[in-house]
Amino acid sequence: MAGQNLALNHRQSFGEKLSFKAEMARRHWARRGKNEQIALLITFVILLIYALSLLYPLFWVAYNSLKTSRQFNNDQFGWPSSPQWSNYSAAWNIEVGYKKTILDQIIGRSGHKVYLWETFINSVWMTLLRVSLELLFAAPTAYVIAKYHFKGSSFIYSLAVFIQIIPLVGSLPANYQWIVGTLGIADNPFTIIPVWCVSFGFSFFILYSAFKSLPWAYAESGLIEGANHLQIFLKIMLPQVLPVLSALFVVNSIAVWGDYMTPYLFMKDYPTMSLAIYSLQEDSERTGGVPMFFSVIVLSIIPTLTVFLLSQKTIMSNYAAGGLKE
Amino acid sequence: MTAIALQEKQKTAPRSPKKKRGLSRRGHEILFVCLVLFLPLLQFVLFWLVPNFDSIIMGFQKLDGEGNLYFTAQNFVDFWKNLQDIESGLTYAIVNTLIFFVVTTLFNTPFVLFLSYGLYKKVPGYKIFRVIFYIPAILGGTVTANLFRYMVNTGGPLETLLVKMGLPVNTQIGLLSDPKTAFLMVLLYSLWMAVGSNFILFTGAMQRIPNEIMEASEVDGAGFWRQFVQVVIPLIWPTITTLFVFGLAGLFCSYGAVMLLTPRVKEATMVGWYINSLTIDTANGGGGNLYYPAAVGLVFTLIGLPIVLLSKRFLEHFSKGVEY
Repeated sequence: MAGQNLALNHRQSFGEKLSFKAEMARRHWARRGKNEQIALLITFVILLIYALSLLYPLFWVAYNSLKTSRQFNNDQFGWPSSPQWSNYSAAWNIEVGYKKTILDQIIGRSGHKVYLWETFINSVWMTLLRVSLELLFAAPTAYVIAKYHFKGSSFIYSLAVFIQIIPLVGSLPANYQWIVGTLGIADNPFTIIPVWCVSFGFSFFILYSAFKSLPWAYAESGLIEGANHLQIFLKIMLPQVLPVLSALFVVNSIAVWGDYMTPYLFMKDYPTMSLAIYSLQEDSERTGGVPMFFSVIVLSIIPTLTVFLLSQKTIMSNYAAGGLKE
Repeated sequence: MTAIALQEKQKTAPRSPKKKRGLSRRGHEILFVCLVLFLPLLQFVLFWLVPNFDSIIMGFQKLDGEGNLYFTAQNFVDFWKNLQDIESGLTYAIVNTLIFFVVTTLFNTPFVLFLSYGLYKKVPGYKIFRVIFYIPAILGGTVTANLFRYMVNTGGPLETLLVKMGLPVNTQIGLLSDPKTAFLMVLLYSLWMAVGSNFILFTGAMQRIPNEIMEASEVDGAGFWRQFVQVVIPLIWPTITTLFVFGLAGLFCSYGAVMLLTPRVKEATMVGWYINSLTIDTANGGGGNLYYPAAVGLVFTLIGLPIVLLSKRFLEHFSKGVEY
């Protein structure tokens, strides 16, 4: 943030820039009316309390993860007397379960112990696979429904809306029976692929409005020059929604990373980090005490937190404002 | 999440392609559309339509002693019996779900609206707040639920605070296991996690309000609160109502908070968890079957669907004419 401002204005030092900004903020503040100042202050205090309530538990978990079990049980508030960094290396090697994966089948093993680091690998590939598949399917679908008028296009759109609002309370038992029982395609990273090619989900609507807002004129000129519809989609239209697509990629990745139900029921042999936390949460024997469980939590949030902080500007500008604009 | 979609429908979007083409060109178009839509529609039929249609049939099925399926209405009879037996947890599930709905509608939505408005009005430090308020969405359910669990556990920070405030806390059992407080904790957790996708959509909707409108209202003498109540809320009303409809649609399906915090306290269960816990038990080989939960799901879908559709129509009727 500050770095960017500096880049824009080389001659000003960081300190000068900062005092300039403070001066601007003061003038802006003075311009507001008395009542508005009070209202803003009240709002600020409420927002601050709420923000602290979100930050404090994270902070508390982070420093308690460096205690020994005994110290934590005696005192949950004090600072760790000597930081136990070994909790982290030990957490990495916590046994989450015993599973038989495709790899085991190939090399003829009856199964193997799954440690926490393997759930991290599972989280990474499963997140990338699920998010890529969804965007790969949702983007062309949204494009065709938004840009081509044909019999049934508005019907398909209404259908997509309908499946979002219909309260399907009993769909989990039926899905379990269908995917695990009847088709038997669960617990296999290759056969599960069709299940994850969701075209009419959340991404569909964001991409639909993004495509809808694009002018057709580019495509028209492309058609005149002899490009076919696929080329127009790939080379003219898709690059224009790339910012929306990348914001969706990050937002969906964060959501999928935190999903524990899908791996729990449909990919049992490939536990992810979120699922590992769920299965470890009541098994402090296996985790070697609460502080080590806390280090598992800290390890699991580092990837998503990093991705979010690095890309939050893209998300804010393309997703919160631009992506939802018509 | 499909708030955008519904709003899209309320506004008239420009129709882009002009229809002035030869037959062969139209032919190319149709070919392209068919090629693109073939797999998505096939996927939809296979993994949405089939299982959800099957869930209706499953509601009327049962396994006999030899493992053969037969058609029966027994699941619905069992449902009726469990409804009268408080020990089954079904009554708790229904009452709690209704309480959950009222509380989230009355507290969560206004609270999130207020937070979004604060950021929109550029409260000091709004850029940092905006990042912090994304935390619940970034961390995911298993992490936030465990943060909350250890906050209210015996000896944890929040529990200690409540004891110091002189509240009658049963420190022996713990707030999450005590049947008297367990569901209260689920509600507290949901309120704490109120920001999330709704927050993103509300701030997005507020950012879309044209500056001229806000400036004009300022010139007319509207202050901070008046602008909030009389300008901002009416203008983003379509977003509020759509999110309300989605909240309503997800009401009987939500299970996360209960599953992660109080899975075994029947006094604190909810309809979504009542059904999904039976499914999970079956999946883990813990006995039970998938047919009874399918039947319960069918009952609540039949109750929920008309409510959702009617309130959608009703609210859309009221938000007509909001254009900016």
